[in-house]
Amino acid sequence: MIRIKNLNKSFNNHLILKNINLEIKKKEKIAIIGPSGSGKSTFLRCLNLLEKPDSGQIYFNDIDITNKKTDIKKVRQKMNMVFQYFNLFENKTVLENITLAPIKLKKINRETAINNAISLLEKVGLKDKKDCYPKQLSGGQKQRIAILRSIAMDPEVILLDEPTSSLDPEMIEEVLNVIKELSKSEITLICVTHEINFARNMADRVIFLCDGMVLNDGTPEEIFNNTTNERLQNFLRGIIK
Amino acid sequence: MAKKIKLKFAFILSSILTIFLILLPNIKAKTEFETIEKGVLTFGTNATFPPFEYLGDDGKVTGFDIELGEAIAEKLGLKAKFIDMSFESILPSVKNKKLDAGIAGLTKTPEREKEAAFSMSYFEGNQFILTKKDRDIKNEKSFENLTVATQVGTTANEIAKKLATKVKNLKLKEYDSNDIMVEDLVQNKLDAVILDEIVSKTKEIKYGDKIKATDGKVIDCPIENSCIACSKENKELLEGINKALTEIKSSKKYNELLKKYMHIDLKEKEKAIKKNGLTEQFSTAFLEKDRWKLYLKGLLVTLTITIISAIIGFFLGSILAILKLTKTKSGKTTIISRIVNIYISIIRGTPVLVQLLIMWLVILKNAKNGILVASIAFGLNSAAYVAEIIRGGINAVDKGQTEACHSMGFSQVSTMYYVVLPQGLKNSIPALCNEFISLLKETAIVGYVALADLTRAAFSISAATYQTFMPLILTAIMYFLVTKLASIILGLIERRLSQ
Repeated sequence: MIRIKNLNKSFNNHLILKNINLEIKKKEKIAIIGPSGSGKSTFLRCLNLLEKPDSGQIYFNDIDITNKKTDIKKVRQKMNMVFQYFNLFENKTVLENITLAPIKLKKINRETAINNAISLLEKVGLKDKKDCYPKQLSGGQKQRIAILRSIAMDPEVILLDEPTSSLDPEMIEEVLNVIKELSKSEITLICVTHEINFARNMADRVIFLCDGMVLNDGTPEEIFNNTTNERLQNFLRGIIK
Repeated sequence: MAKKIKLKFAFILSSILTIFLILLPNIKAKTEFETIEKGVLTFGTNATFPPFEYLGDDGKVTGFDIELGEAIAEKLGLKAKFIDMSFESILPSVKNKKLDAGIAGLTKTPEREKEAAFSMSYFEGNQFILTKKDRDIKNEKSFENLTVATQVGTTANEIAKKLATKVKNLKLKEYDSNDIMVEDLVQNKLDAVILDEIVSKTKEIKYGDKIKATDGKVIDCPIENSCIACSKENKELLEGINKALTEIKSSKKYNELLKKYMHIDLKEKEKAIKKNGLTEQFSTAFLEKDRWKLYLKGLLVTLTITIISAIIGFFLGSILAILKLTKTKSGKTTIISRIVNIYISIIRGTPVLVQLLIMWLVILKNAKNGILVASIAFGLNSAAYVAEIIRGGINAVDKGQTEACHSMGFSQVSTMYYVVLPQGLKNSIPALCNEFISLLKETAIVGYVALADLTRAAFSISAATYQTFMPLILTAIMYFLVTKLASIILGLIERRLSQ
């Protein structure tokens, strides 16, 4: 579904991603782990071209999205993103945040979009917040809404960029529960995370990114229990303590 | 050979004849004068110059020049119309055909003759020198080490400049208003003031115990000939005015006018001038003859211009702000953005008065509606400031929301429209309110384009009542009240929108 070929990306002549090659299959739930500064977020942001790769190709359903002729806006509708800092629209209510893109981009009937949004809100227990503005919500609530905002677009892929890193500890659980629920669906998930336990339970594939390279790529079992890679062992030891 | 010459001669003769035949009907048709408004003779004047022109008790321009202008128009079969404007703008406006003629005690000088044509003289007056009681002016040498003031653009101004080249250490000062100039003399900020005879005499009566007037003959001041200014291109009108003036000057009417404005006037005004108490001043400058209506009319003009230009400024400014933020796909600034930047720096780097005059005299020189021209000038000016305010507001919107929009598939334009601009505008509201209030005060210069706004009303009333203090204080109070009211209303709106 997504094929990445020889992807390179640098900032100010500093190479962040070094010749990455990966293939991601439909419905896969992938966790990307790795030390800070290893290029995890940059990698994720290259996938929907929020960052422009220096070289290499990214194929989404066999379409090269790095090709200038590709309408990236159409691709992004099927490949949504959830951010570390939520990035809800501050001038819109919760309901409007969720329905804006379906109504304006997918041209879904307004009423259907609202009903859909309300049933999503109900599932995560935030129906009573539908008319609130983002600034009236807690971090955990905001992130849950941000995830719903992506789901409402009915995408094929959701990219999650450290969705719990900016949350207070007591709120992490409620967000993780939503993502866990999401992982039972058909949607392909690619999640950059520091929550090793979460990665272990949610993902069916874990990628260890270090110094801009894919050092390990395997099932959670292979990565967390049976690795022989010293760098990965060091990293895991550091985190689990 | 001889045949050829004959042929040539016949050809020339016949062409001259044809030209005559073409011109003849035209000459006959020119019995009616060509004016900017059909059937109306539009004069520009500056009603701060009694007894030549000032605002009468009914709030309309009146004076010697005005009645003379009316008499001339009548002789020409036209209706007279007078536009009260800043003195310096009169000749440029005549040149640019925003006026048919200027009548404002104008004296003919070689420099002015470059701008406009002048009629024969209709009044001869002397220049006088005003000083404090204890200073004697005997000759040019008496001016050594003195600070001498004159009104911009007047004959006295020319005299003083010439004097400065001959006399040691003479410091020149220029004023827009006679009233403030003489007030400064009384306050010892000036040593001498040169003014024409009538105004000097009036001032001498007002400040009788403090200042005195010396005849300009002691320094060989030329006699001031007041003339009417016309466009150089409208020779027929100039001839018509000259013919009318000749007739009027030999008529009874002219003597009546002289009597009414140049002699009796002084004694009648003497009483008005002597009023000194605050309540008395207030009642003359505000209550008497319904003068308060003049302030209110002026205020209405001020508010109209402010509101129209604020609307222009807001919409144009928002567009400019967005254009300035446009980027190419590779993240560089676009040409449009650079052009907007140049526009903003030019507007912010030049005085609004200069912009207003350029708009009135150059860009929109054919426009007659001063309110429209002023609103456009102020609107264009304000847009530059609004653009910077809104750009700041937009930049303050957290970039993450833009990324979120892009990552969902929104285009640049819809991201701006649905998410960024509404928040950017909200961020800009407090600064926009400030801009509105400074705009309101900045419009005080529209007198330059012939508009009677609140400030101009103060000058006019000041000239009509021979008072400087009270009209200016009342105007200041009115500006203050309006800006205060505006900031309260804007504050309420601000609070409502930020909820």
